Amino acid sequence: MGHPDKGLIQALLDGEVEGTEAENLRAHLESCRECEAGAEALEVASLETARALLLIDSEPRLQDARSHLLGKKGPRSNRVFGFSISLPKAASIALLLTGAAATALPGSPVRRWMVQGWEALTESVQSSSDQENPLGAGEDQTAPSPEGLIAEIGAGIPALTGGVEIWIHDLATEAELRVVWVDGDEAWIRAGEGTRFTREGSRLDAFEPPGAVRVEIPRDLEQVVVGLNGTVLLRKSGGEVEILGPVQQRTPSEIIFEAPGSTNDGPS
Amino acid sequence: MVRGLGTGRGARGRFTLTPKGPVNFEALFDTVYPSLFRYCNRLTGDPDQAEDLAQEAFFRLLDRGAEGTDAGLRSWLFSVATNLVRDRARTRETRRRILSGFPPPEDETGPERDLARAEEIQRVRKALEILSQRDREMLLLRQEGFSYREIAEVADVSHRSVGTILARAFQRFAAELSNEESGNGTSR
Repeated sequence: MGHPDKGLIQALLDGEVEGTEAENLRAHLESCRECEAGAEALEVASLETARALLLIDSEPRLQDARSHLLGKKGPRSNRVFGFSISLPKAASIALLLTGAAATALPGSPVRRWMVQGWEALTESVQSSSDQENPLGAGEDQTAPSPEGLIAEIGAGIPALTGGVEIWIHDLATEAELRVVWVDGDEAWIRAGEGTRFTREGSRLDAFEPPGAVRVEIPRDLEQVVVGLNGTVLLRKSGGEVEILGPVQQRTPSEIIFEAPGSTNDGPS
Repeated sequence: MVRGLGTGRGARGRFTLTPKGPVNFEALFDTVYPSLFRYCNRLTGDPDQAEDLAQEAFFRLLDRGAEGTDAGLRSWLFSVATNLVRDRARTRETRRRILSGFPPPEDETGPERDLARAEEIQRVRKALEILSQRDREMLLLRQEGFSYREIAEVADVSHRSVGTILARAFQRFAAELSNEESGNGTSR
């Protein structure tokens, strides 16, 4: 085969070429030093781009956006008699009005119905307001507490593309961030109850953990970024581990980073 | 109820979403919003504006009501946001021309901001700006995990040209970063 153009090599690197075409391309890259060098250059450019873009990222104000958007959504879908009111509230009012009428009839079965309805309603409202964590599958609300930590919940992410990004936001002052190398193919964040998690693609974020955080990273992963408040603390690329944050203690199996409020302030 | 999402500003006619029942809006928000915000922030360099843009895209989805696959809705949201960014860029350029006779505003970040980090951010932003609008959008969509087919839909280019455009964009961006680092940045 002739020399493939850069676009085709890029597509191969991005996993967009499959089957026989991909096999032929790989065979060519192995036998052609010029194309192999071209592929390496493209891969480096791609990695450099990803790394550089992390520098300009800001944290989204998820809670604000969420309440803003969902606040708009509510009235649209739950309009009752022309008033913007949520369905549970509307149901409550209807129940109260019915109840008021029922009190005028001593011994009325409506009274029993009203009490039962109210209990059912308050239960359903209670359970819907309990939903705090936006993560779905993969979430482990009952994960065992790691040693010495107050962690009670956690979230994991499979390393499907050979790499993961883990970000912790607003870690409590004096709280410890521990990165542990583990076996397996899922990265995890374990933190105290109340921590919120979001996950997309190969990125997992934990927001406002109330105490210490433990990050578990599969030791075989090639590409890893662990960051705190927008600053990269640890980066692993091609098997090389680069520690960029202030370390309190390091062993072959774990790294404990200094707490945000400790004497040596934050990573440089 | 919009099924194909093929009408209106921000949606291209080629988007055809397969109806899969009502959309779980909250789940869609949790999945897509952080990525959409990051994309808008990288495109505009302004977190406040990025927030506005990402929310506006979601508002439009809410206003129309939509059904479709998560992937289809994600593409649609990114497409709307991309067009909003383009519109605002045009407005900003007009304003810039009008205000070009006035001195630039002071840096709002203030003196406390870490200088080295500010310079790094500036370097990355310059390297991004060296790319054409379309190449920049495509590169950033790829960074958000979009497939070539999805990128082709949002950027309105042929599927077969995506690899070539991305290869050129990545290399140009990386080269400009390197130039900026050595102080030989391309002037525009």
